[in-house]
Amino acid sequence: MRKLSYKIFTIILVIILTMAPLDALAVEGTMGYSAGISVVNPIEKSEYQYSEMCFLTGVPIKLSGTLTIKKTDKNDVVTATYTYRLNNAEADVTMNRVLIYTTTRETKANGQVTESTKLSRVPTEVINIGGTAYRLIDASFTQSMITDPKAAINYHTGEFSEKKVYAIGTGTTRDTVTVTLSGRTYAYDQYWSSTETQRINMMVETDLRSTNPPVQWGGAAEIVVSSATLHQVNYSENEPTYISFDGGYVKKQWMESTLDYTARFPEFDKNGLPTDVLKTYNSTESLSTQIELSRLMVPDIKHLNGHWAEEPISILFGLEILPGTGENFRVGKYLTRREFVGILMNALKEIPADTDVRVSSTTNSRRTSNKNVPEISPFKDVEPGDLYYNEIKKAYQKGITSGNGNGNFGPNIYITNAEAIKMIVSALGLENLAPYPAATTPFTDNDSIPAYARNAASVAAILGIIEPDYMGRFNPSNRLTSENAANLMYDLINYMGKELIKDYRDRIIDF
Amino acid sequence: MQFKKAVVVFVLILTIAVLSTYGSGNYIFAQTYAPGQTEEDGLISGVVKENNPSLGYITLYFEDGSGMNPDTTDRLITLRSFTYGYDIPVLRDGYEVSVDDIQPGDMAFIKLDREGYIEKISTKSYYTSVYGTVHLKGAAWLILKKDDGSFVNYTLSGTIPIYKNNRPCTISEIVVGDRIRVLAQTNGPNIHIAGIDIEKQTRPIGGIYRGKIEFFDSINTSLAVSGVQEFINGRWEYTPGIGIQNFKYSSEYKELPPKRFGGTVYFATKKEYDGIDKIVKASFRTLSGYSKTTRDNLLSMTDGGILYLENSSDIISFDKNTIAIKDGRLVDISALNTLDPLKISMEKSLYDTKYIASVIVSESIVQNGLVLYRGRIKNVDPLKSITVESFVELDGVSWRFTNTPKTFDIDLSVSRLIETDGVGNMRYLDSSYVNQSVYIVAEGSKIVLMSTAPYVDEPVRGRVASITRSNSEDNDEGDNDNTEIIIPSVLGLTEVKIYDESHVWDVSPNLNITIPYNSIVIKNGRVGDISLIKPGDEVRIMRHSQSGEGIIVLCQ
Repeated sequence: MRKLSYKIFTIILVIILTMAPLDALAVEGTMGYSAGISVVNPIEKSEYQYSEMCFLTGVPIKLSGTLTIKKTDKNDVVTATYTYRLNNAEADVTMNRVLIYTTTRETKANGQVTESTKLSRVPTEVINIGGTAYRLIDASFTQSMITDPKAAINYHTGEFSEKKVYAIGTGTTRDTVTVTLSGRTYAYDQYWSSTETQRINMMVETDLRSTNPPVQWGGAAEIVVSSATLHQVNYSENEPTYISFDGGYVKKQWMESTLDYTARFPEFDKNGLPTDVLKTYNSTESLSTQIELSRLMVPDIKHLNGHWAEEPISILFGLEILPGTGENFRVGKYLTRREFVGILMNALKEIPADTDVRVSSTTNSRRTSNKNVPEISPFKDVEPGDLYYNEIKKAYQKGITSGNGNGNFGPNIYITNAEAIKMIVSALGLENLAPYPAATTPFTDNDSIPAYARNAASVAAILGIIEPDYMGRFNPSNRLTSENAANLMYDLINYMGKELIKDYRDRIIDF
Repeated sequence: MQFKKAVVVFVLILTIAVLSTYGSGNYIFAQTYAPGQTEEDGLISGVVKENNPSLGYITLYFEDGSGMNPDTTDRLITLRSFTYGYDIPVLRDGYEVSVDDIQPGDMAFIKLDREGYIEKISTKSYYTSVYGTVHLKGAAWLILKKDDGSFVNYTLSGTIPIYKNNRPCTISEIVVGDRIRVLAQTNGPNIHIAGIDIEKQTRPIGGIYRGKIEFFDSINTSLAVSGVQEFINGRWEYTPGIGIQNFKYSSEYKELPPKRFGGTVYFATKKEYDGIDKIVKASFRTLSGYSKTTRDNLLSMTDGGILYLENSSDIISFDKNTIAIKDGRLVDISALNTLDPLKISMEKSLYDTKYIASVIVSESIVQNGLVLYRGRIKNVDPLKSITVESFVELDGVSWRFTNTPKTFDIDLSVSRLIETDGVGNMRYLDSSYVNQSVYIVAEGSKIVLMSTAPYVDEPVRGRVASITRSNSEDNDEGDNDNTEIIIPSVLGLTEVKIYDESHVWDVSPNLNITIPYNSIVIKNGRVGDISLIKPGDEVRIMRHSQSGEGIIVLCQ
């Protein structure tokens, strides 16, 4: 009986574990937590080009080399092995470091995911600087992170703390250097760009007992490291006249990492002893991958040649955000709610997954087939056979729309500016930038904006996704034309691809 | 018995009193627990439209955020204006503040007392960070060019906290061309600024160049330029790079070269967040004729785009493509002021009388309180001060002697000691230094730098053409002491003039001057080493007449 209960319990547990969503987050820790930067090696899997600054001697030394990351994800417990092979030939420095972290994830009731990371084994690290060995003899590390998954963007923030103690040389009198790191992580993941930035305070304390008299000195560094993946679209003109299509657009994708530091360490005298004058060192190092190019489809929008919205429309067709190939696109056409949701979901795209992680969950080999389970639409007036059914369902599941009441979506009703902007800001998950629930907007027709969309309009104005018309109005009840929808989508992907990164990287480095 | 009756009467009276109060509406307490009522009365929330503590009221927008329409003003006054009670608790963002600190745009929660007065109020601010570059600045205002290209005007009061590198600073430290972050809460016409951050490290313009465009790479957004020259100290100097050089465009700069361009491109570069110098402004000029540079002071500028200089009769125009740099920052040309010293590069066609300025650079003269002394040490008070018997003070090209002792303070965090064989340690400065002659660079009475270099008496001036940097290497000959040998730097000078015995600057051929490790280099009010000097700098050097070593290098 007891055995049977145990079996039932195990089966239930297995089923629950199998059903639990496995979050694949793109904030992958590719920079590690040692104040370094990395970019992916396009040839070697799980290998990154890596750089960090070594401050152990009191003079910054740049170390470069490779970082290999191997991760296994077993039922939301991720074990990650970070192997560093770094050197600086000019300064005669080599470093070998192996760190193994265990990260435990927990999905909370509101969908947020918390992470907690610890060292799972004693790390190994040896740094050889000009013939003197710095051997890691003690280390501790803790990290926590929260992820708030929104429809289009996962937002992350966290903090970490690390302490490392190195023994200097091989003498019997133990000289040590203690490095203390504390950092904050700010990151987001989405298709058009993703950024992870760490702002780190590092303290280096050296205790030299073998000198006579014994010497203690300390220095500190503020380091900002940031890694970003970017997309950009550039126009490429055709030179030949006799070619079947006009010039087109090229999508560029690349990864770039930046390390910016300001360090203050004692100036050392001719005998190698520290003086009381603090020297300031600052520098910026960067790594980047080669640009990956991909051509966008050239749409047939010759009827729009010279139109002021030709560029965004052409790019959106090329990126396959606007459906079709362009010949039937009419700028003045009013969009229905279903058409708009289709375009919006095309623009948002899926958040990329962590490529380093190898998932091995406890699974039930007997999979349940859902072949015969009838599809149930979230809305009474949207049939599963609808052209935009999948997009509407996904938008509903991600909380972008809840319909227009009574279980209906109103798929064929023309969408208004207010409804469109509400969906966009819901997708970004940024409504709480405005006073809830009662924002006032900068638009002169603020009072005409429906209460449900007022916050969204306020936030969209702050983000620069919408601008007032010539009379300062938002015109909330106006129907959205194809042209306006194209401009909105263009501004949205511009915000997600270009503007957001400034907030998470450039401005953290600059200020 | 009578006592019992009295008790019963008292209880009855008390019951009647309580029942009459219950539901009468006189007391919030009673209202709160009125039958059928599920929420507490007297709680109001909304965004602050107007806060007027001097007249004792606050007005909120309606709870749904409406109320901006002028037609609703009367309703707002009637329904959403509340009078402050006496000595009420006020919270803003969780901190106790005064009523005056509540700003339009705050989200407010108000509790009214039974008479309808505000009993307590708490608000949350909704500041947003506005990023941009200071376009123009006055004593109490600035115009910010936002990152999206639009302009916004801010009025600055003296109470606005301003920070740089997380340290408080003053409005005067904001310079046109600085990148700043304004923490502003905007509500209709009201803008409240909670603080301004200046970027923690000013990234100055890295260089101003010109050359011939070879091609523009639209994939990598970079410009290939040949015959590259750099504008240094008002003159065009060829760069060390030979042939064609590649310059990346800043992601924020969109001005592409014209198609089939055959003229000269002038451009300014600046380090971006990734530490790479990128083009932040380019000017494409097709004029072919005369090109010249000049140095002068600005007299005035006209709206029509003409510059008038103090000492020149040239007619010099400027346009939107003119690159204007002030104190290392790219600025709008209107940021230049009367009598600003200018270095201008301009050109005109063969048949025109009017020049057009391609590059205008203005650098303010840095005033510093550094004074250079030399004297023999009479006394050392370790960690505190040193006293010299008598001293000379550098005054132009000569030394002014003063026959009195002078004491200089040691500040261990500032005072550096440089000796012939390397950096010394002020911590260990003791009586063994007595009778040694030293140079002292002091700010007031505080030692900034002390050097044991020998006395120099021969002034030389010139323009730096080349620099061979010093370095150090291990001494692997003889002793096994692993000491370092300091190899001095060498400055190659052109346009050399030597101050001769008859007190005249004599023209001299080009000269190489060795700069030993313990030399004193001062540039822009900073004391440092030879790394401060760049090719093109104009320097005045005091050198040792016998060895020819340059000990004091002053960059002008």
